[in-house]
Amino acid sequence: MRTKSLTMVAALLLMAGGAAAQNGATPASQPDVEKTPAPSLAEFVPPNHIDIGIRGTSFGSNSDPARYQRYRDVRDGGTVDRFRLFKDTNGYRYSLQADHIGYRDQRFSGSYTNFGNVKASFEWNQVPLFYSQDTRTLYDMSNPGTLTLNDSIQSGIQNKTLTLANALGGSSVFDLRTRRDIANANLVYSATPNVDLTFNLRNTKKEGAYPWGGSFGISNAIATEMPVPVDHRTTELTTSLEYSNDRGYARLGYDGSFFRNNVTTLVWDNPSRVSDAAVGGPAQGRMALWPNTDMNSVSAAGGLKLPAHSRASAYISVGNLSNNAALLPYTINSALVSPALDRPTADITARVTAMNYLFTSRPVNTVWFSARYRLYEFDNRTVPFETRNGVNYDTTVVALNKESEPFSQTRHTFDADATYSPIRHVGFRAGYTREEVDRTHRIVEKTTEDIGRASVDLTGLPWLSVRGVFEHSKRRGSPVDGLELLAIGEQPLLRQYDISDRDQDRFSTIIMVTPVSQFSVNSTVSFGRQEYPGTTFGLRNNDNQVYSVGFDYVPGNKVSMGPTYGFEKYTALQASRTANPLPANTVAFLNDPTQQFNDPRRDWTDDSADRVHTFDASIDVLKLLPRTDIRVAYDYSRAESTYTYGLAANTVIATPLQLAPVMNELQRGTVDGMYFLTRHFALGAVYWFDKYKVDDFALSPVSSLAQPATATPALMMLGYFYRPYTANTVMGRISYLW
Amino acid sequence: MVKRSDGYPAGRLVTVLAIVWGLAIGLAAAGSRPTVPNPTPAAAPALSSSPAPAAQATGFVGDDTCTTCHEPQGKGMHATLHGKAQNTRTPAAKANQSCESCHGPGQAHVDSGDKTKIKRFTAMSPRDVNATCLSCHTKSSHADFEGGMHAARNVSCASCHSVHSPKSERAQLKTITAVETCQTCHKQEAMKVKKSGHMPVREGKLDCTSCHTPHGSNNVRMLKAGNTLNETCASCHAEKRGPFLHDHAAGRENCASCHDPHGSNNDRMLVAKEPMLCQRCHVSSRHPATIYDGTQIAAASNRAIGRSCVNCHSQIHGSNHPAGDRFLR
Repeated sequence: MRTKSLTMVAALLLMAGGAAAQNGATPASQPDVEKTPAPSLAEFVPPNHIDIGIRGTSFGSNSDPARYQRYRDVRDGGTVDRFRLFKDTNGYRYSLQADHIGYRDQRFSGSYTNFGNVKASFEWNQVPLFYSQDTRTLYDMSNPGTLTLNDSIQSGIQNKTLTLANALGGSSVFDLRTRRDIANANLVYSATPNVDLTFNLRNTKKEGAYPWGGSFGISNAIATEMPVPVDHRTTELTTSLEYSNDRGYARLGYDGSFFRNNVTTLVWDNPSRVSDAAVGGPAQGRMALWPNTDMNSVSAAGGLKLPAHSRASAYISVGNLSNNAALLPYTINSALVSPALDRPTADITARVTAMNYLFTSRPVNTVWFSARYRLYEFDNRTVPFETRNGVNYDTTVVALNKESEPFSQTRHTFDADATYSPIRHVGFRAGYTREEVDRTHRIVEKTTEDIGRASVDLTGLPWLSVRGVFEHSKRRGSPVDGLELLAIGEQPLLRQYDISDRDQDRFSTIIMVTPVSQFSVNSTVSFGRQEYPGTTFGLRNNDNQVYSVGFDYVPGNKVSMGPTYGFEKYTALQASRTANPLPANTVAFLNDPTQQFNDPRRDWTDDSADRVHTFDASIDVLKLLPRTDIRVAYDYSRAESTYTYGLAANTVIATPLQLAPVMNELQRGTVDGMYFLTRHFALGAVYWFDKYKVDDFALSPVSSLAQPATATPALMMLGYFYRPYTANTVMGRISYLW
Repeated sequence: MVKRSDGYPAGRLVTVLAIVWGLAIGLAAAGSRPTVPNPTPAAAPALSSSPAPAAQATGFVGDDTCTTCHEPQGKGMHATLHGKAQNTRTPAAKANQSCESCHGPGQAHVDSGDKTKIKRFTAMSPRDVNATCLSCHTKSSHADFEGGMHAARNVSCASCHSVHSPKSERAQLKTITAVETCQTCHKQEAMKVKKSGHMPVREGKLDCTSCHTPHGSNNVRMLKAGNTLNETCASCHAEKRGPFLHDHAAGRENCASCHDPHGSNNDRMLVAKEPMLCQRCHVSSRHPATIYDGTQIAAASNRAIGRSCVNCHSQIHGSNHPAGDRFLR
């Protein structure tokens, strides 16, 4: 039935298009449009220049310099802030660029193009991530992968002669940061005008430390936040050979990615114990960090032009993911005999197959359509890892009789879209997508989603642009076996939102009005609604609304300005039940009304809402004042998130104390001025104002890193909190241009 | 081994498409009519040292005639890659016909002064504009443009790119940066990038094209690397790609189930705050059925404060430890 409907819709569209074509429906009149403004060469040829300056920042009280610099390095001092060298001839072009030289966020790049023959480029890009400059820890971090405590601390806490809160008084302060160094080289060699050989090598090194949790899983043990060492490298190689002409193309490719971690194991001291014990727990914990993995794939792609403005293309990729890292013993606790491993290495391999077949056609001027079939298969061929006797929380050897669940999925997606353009600037689109996913080791093994959509696009008019799209989708899954959920201790009526039944509507529109060429107004409205009809426990709905309005005013070549305001609202409702687990996960107990597990009076909901206000504005005044360029910009984003717990009318659980709203507010203002002394020299000054306000019930600073700061803490924190900042940065610079 | 699909209607869908296309071809033949002048470079005369006779024969007038009135546009084009005649694929390589290789023969326009007698991209339908550009831009990601979301939504090449007066350092964009170009339409994503949890886009270390290819790709959502959203994420976060001895199935299914890559107000760009996010799928197992309310915060429950669930379940992306099925090791 569905197929028949699709056929009819497509046929109607095509008939309408054909009729329009026969009637010559396309209007002959074409509106006058503004003549392209005369460009000056300087607009698109980047001038060579170098900016040298000095900068400094003052912080308000209680400011967090680390968060201010989160992905940047804005330390005080001299800086070569920007360097650009560009050479363009009829035969070749090259460029050299550098930013923030000598700082942690420096970037260098260069490119060379011999027109029609070779394109080569290289980039070195450092991306810092500064978590905190006042994090503190008791751990000795000198041996990568092993975090040790002074034995006296462990014994003191174990023997209750020392509290963790007191011990933390001796913790050392350190910077918590990571940095990515990305080297990226590209080469495109055009052996002939129709044949390209491409080569890309990217090497990413990441070093530093980030916050990481460690737990011993025992009710009276201390969960520990630690600076886990990061020292790994990813090397990616992509190469392809492509032939193309005006009739089509063919491409063969290879992609390889190799992840290598220099710290694959983390051993950390248990603050609660100095010696291993079978019941009390181990003196150390040990976990496996990211294992080395390889990914290799080969691909073939091709496209061919067909009659009637049609085109067919195909893409096939076959690859392999593997992980054969040596496995750690079940436990580091020497008081236990670690059970034998099923096998010594992970021995994990997955075959990845992807296909993509596309057909597009524009048989008449008024009709365009495309159809695509996509297959993605992640075929995990790993033999499940059996655990007959395992270790629970490093304290007990138990018979578990479990095995790992190598997750696989096969995803089929079919898309069809047809656009009907009765007049030149308008396109009405109807589209349909059907996606089927088969997966293993999840409570819903198969889902089918049908998506219908319609859109209107009015483009190409100089004074008006309207885009609107509506999409409705329905996802349904194979039946859920409640007993499978019960077997893992879950409520049988739980549904996991990423694979559960879902009805979804989305609508969005953007309107741009340009009454005169100097002035334009834009506005967007979008709504999204997700309902999970079969869900009793879990996420039940998830909605959003987004609005924005702004304008741009460009009265001439010298002045441009534009503010935009946006509002977003996201809401979600989830449900749960506070209850003890069943004595045994059996149907008999599931039908026992005396069990808390079955008592609807213990149900609760969490109704969350995010409201976000965004405002940005900018004004550029270039040479309006003699020899002077001024750019002013301001960004503002304020978000408030609320979480409201609700209970059943006849509840038997205690009334919750509602959480305080979480608030994040970011502001950034910039004034950038430049005065040209001569054609080649300019003096400039930049002022940045940055402010961050935050109030987060879980991540705001606390008085002690031992929480609670009693004799029985549950968490030893690093001190990586969300802190506010107010920063005023000034940079003076001199620019030389040539 | 993955269970194969047991009922995907591929055969029916292919049949329907074949019928639809056949109908369309029939209608096209029945209703063929002249369209906007659309000579492609392939239709233009071959490179020749003496093009004048051929030009006259086909209505071409040559660059010199064009730039008599349109000098700034001519200069603008010649300062870009389109003006590099050494590359035989460029308009400039068509001797004295670089303008008309895109705009078509100009004789009628010159003779009449009527600007409707020549191809003006601002007055053409997006698909006609794209057809012109794609007649030469046949390589790499350009080959995927047809069928991409931008093509489906009538976005033309000229919506983002400028042939005569580009503003960007590369890719001949109409704005200085790629982010500015994208946020012209993608306002919601632009707002998300300004939230407290974001990737380093506003810091200039990434831009939209770090993940997306606006011309189209074999991936979903016009993503650049890999075949799925997860493969795109893993192109930078390779450590999390696994596969692990114990995978977190939700993560293997889709990174975006938990993270919003454009930005959010939650730690690590999560789509919801922990522990609420985890509680959306874990109700009774793993002890999350508690209401983590103000009382739990005041008591400094290690399941509520700090990083909440991942204070302990730090291996949430997957674990290679034999005892890591709860993502504690």
